[in-house]
Amino acid sequence: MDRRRLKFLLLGGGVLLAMGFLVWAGLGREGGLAYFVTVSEFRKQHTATSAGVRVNGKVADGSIRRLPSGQDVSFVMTDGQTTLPVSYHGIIPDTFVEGADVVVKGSLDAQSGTFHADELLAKCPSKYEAAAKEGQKPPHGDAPPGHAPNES
Amino acid sequence: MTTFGHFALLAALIAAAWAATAAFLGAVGATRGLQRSAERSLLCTAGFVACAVFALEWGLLRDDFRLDYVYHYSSHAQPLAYKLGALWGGQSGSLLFWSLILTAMATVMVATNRDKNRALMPAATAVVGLVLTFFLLLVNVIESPFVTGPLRPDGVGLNPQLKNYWMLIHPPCLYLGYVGFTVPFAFAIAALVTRRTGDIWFRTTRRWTMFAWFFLGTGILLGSYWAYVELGWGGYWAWDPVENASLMPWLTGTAFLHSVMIQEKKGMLKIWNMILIILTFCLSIFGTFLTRSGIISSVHAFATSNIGPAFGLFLGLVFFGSLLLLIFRLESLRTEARLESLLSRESSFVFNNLILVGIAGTVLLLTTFPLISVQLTGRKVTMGPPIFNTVNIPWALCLLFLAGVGPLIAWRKASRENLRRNFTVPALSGLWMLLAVLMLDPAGYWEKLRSVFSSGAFDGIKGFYPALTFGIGAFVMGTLGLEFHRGVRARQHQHGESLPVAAGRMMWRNKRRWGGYLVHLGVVVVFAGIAGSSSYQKETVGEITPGQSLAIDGYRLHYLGHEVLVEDDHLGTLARFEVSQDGRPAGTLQAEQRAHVNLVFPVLKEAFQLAKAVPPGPDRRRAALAMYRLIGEMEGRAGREVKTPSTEVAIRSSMNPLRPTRFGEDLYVIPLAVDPETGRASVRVFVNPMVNFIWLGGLILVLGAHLSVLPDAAERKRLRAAMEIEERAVA
Repeated sequence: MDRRRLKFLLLGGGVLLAMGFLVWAGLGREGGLAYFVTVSEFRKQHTATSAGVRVNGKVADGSIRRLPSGQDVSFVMTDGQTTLPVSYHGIIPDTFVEGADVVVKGSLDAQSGTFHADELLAKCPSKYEAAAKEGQKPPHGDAPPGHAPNES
Repeated sequence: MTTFGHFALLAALIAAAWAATAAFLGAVGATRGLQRSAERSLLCTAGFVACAVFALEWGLLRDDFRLDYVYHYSSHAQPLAYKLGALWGGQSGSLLFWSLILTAMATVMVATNRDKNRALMPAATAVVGLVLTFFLLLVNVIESPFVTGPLRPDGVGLNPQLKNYWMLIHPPCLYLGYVGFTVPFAFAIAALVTRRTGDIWFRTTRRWTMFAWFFLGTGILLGSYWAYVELGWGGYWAWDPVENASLMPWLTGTAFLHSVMIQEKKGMLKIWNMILIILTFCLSIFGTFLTRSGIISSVHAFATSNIGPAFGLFLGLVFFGSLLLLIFRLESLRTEARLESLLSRESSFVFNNLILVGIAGTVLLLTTFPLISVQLTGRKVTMGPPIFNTVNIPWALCLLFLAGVGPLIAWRKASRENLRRNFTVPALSGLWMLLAVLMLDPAGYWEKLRSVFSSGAFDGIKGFYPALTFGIGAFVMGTLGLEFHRGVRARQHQHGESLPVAAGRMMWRNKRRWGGYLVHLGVVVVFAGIAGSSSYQKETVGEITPGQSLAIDGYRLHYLGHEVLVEDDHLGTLARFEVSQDGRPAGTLQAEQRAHVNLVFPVLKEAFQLAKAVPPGPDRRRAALAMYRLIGEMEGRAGREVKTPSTEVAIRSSMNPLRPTRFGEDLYVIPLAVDPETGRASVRVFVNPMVNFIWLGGLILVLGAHLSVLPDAAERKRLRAAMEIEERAVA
């Protein structure tokens, strides 16, 4: 192999190695890789305060309490088995509604048992699929106005 | 109409399958008649798919809620444009729309190659037919848009966030990009199959590649713009899997556009170009798949669905099939020249390619890492945006640097003289800019320099990225300016033309080159916008009542008052602000906090319709307030929310060139909460310097891309010459 070729290979390889190194270094850093667990898994593994974990679950019906500041909210997250009270401070996305699939990042406050989140991602609730599963039977909201039973 | 749609889809599938089969038979050496039949059958597919789309749009327009698709993505109240746009609001409709675009492209491909490329066309037709068959199989068998359910009086409708003007433009743009790479890919495969690996395949498809690349890039920018103005978090890019999905094929497509120039001029990098186009097409399919399948959890994830395995199978088939074919044809892709020196145009292109593909690779790795991790360790993980920035920003800067080097460095081997002549001025302008930025805040940068050594290189070096971006950007602008200056001066000397005439003629005579330069200029401007807005952003949060003010970075936001509204399908509380910038009045702004009432509750639905019927004026206001009270009461009683909030941010852009320090800056006001009774508002305000450079750079990019695809007499001559040589060689 001649020297010219070797030079190209070395430089090209160097670029790729440097990229690989950056990926490897980035993984271990804050804001990089984070473990992603459901509410139950979180309850099982992370009783102590473990920072940087992301917890996934649904917003329990009737649990949203918005404070007048517009950027503080507390709610209960559930995965159908266990629940986790969460308080969050920051911009609340419009997609954050009851039943929405959310991911929070933060840590558990051992004293109050509340999860303090500094990041809140909300996926549009899968209302379409839910509606599709009801399928054959039209949802109660479709009853013509005036003839509907009283709401709860 | 539903039955009609069903059968149109079925007919389209049959026609596409026949097109693929007949063209394949034609390609392996059967009669020429079969190829004509395949082409005609592609045209028929186009007709049938158009019929199916028409049937679905008909259903959407006529509010045919028996159709599941119409029920889920449309409603009576949905404005006409969004009823039509609902075609790409859901999964099966998107797939149908994808097929429609591909058939339209196939039609153009058949029409423009009626008497040309007879050798390549059979295999190319077969590939397009095969891709079409796959997508039509999906919409016929797995995800039909024509599934019907019971009679329903009204539909669910699109999400409030999707009901936005950009929703009508951004997805079609992206789809044009994704789909557009099919044709260059098909011709590449055809070139491999027929062993006609000369330069005809990429010369024929240069415009297709540009077209796809252009729409993909524009689609990405439009998506960021949409996120910026609509989603209301003050940013425009979050390294979300779906965003990454569109970025990856764009990166490899950019690499392809560049390296194909080297093959054109030097006959090098032939294998590499094949790999690039295969990668780009596969990433396009993968992008569609990521977007539609929701396999990686994402805020965009529209649905978790059953198209995953089919897509995986198809993708694997295409990828490994193409690679296998490539390996069998390696001997016909021998290079005609070799890289001679690290300091040469060839090698600057090679490194540009390496970095582009490297970035695409890391983005792919990081995006799919959660999937890999589950497979390998059984633990679920996620990737935050910081890691993408850590990895990609340094390389993006290298890339920007190469954009300045590539156009001016000599072919084969750059002499000292060439380097000195071409790069002294640009290098100086870059250094001056770097120094100027550093001098803005010498103490701060000194501190950052020290932290590089004390607290680790990673965080320290981050502080220098914006300054470096501006410096390298100035370097690139320097090379462009030098090239411009030289070209214009030469024309002025030779033809005695005035400056504008010389500039215009110079660009017109060499549209590809100057189109490319304009694109580079656009990229520099976009980079500057990203650097400026991400590193000099300022932010404040405050609670104010009407009459009070909020100050941030030379701005004063005076709260004039609030208003309550009942509109379309929502209640709204509008806050009005008077803005002053550096003491000068700068107009008014209005931000709105909306509440989409849950009309599932009959009481609310009735009350809402009553309130909407009240004529505008104080009565309407009272009705709106009563609605708010009713909602509050019901929420208290039911213990759950009966409204969906949505936020309309207010943006004031400073585009006055007379105030250069503010040029391109946005004042971005997010209404976090506005009390409908008292008007007490909690707002979050951002000042985003230079953010409009991103959109401005996008416009320059659009202009450049257009210039470079305009018909060019010289290029046509070259293509004809290449074809003649090929014909003679075959004969």
